Amino acid sequence: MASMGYRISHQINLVLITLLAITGSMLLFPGLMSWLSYAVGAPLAAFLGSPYPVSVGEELARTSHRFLADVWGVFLIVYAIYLLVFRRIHVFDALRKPLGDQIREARALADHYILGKPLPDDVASSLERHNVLVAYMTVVLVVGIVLLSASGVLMVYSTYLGLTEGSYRLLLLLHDLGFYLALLFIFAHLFAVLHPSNRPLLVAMFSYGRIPLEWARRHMPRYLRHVEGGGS
Amino acid sequence: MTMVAVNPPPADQGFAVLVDIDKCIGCRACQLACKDWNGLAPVKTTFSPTFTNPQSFTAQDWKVVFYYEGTAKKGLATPAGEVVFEQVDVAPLPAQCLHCAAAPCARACPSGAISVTPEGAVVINKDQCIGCGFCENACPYDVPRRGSDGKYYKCTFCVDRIQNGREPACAEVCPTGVFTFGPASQIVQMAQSEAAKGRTVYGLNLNPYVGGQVRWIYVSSDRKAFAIKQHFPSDAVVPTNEAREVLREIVPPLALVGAVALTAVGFASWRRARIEEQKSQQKQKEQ
Repeated sequence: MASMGYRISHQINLVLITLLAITGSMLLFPGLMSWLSYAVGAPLAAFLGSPYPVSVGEELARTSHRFLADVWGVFLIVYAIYLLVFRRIHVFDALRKPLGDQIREARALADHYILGKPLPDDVASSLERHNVLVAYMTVVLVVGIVLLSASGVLMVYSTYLGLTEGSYRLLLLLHDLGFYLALLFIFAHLFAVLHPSNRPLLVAMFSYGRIPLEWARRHMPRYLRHVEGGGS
Repeated sequence: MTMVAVNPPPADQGFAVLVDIDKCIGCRACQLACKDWNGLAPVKTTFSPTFTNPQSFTAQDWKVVFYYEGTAKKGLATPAGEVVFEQVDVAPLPAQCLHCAAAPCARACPSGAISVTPEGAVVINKDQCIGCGFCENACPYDVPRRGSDGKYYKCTFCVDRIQNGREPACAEVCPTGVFTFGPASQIVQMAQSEAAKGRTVYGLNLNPYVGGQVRWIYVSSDRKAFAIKQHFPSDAVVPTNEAREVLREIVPPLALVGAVALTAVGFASWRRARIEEQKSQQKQKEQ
C-alpha cells in the first residue's frame, strides 16, 4: 500500500515538475514553444498595453520557472529528509543484487514489457518492490535533479557568488543536461505506468493507494516476503 | 515559421566596416560619438594599468577603445645597413559588437528581442528584452551588457543612421579614417586584398558558430597585430553554448521518435493483453 503522504508527494511532484518542464521548455526551445508564450502572454500584454505578447509570455515563464523551482526545491528537501529519516527508500534495493543477476533481470523485463514474453521463474520470484530498470532510471533521475537544482541555484545567485561568465555558461549547459536526463526518466516512467500490466499501480496511485495482493505477488514477490516477514 | 525566428541576410549582402587599426591614434572620438548619437549616459570611470576606460563595454558604453601593449619588430636605416630591433608599442583598438553574419545572440534570445535587419545590423529591442542574459552567454566577444533596468544593451551598428543614408556615428567622426563603411561585398573584397598583401585580418573565415564571418572586419600590419591577437578569441565560439545548440537540435526529434515508439509498443502490449483476456473469457464460457 502507498501511504497518503506518498501519494500527495507524488501529486505535488507531478504538478511542479510538469510546470517546471513547460516553463523551462519555453526558455530552452523558444522556436517550438512560441505559440505557448504567445497564448500565456497575450492576455497580460493586452492588460499592460505591450505590443509584444511573446516577450511577455517568456517573461512570465522565466519568473514562474524560478518561483516554482524554489517551491520544488523546498519540497524535495523536506521529502528527502522524510525518506532518509524514516528509512523509506526501497527504490535502490534491486541494486544490491550481483551485477550478472541485474543484467539478466533487466533483459527479462525488457523482453516482457516490449515483446510480451513471460518472465523466467527465477527472475519473477526475486523481484523487489522496484525492479532493476526502475532502480537505474531513478539513478538517472537523481543525477538529473542534482544537476538541475545545483546549477539552477548557482545561476540564480551567480551575481552574489561572483561567478565568472565561463562558470555561468557551464552551469547553463549542466542545467540543460539535467533536464534531458529528467526527460529520459519521465519517458520511461510514463511508459512503465501506462503499460497494461502495471495498470493496478496507476489506479492505486490516483485512488486509495492499494494494489491487489495477487498482483503484488507477481510483481514484487521478494519485497512482499520481506513485508510479510515483518520488515517495513 | 515561428514567432521568434531569426532571418539574417547573407554575409555578402547588407553593410560592413573595415577597421584599419594602423590608422588609429586612440583619440576616442568614436567612443564619444557613439555615446553622443545614442544618448548614452556617462559612467564613473576608474584608474587602471591601461588607457582603456571604461575597462570594458557597459550598458552605456557600446563602443570602447581598448589599448594593448606588445612588442613589434622595427627597422632602422643606418649607414651600416638596416638594423632590426624589437620595441614595446601601444596599439589602440576601437571595439564594439562585430555584428556576426549568423549572430549567436539572436539565436539564443528566447523572446525574439534580437533581430537582424536587412542591413546586417544585430539589434536588441529593449521593449522585448526580458533580461535573461542568454545573449551574453552566447556571445564569443562578451559584448551585450545588462543595464540598471535589467535589460541588455549593445551597439546597434547605427542602423537608424544607415537606413537614412548615413555612416555609423563612430565611422563618420573618425579623424584618421580608421573605419571604411560600405556594402558588405565590397568591404569583404577589400579585406581579402589586404590579407593577400600579408596584413593581419580578423573577421573572415571564422567559426561557423558566428556564420563564418563578422561585419566589422579588422586589419593591421605586423606592427600592431598583437592588439588583434590579444583582443579577439582565436576561435569565435562559445563551446558550452555550441553544445547546447547541438542538443537543442537533436533532442526534440529524438523525443518525438521515442514517444511514438513507446506509444506503439504500449499500444501493442495493450492489444495483446486484451486479446489474451478475451481468449481466457471465451475458455471460461466454454467450460
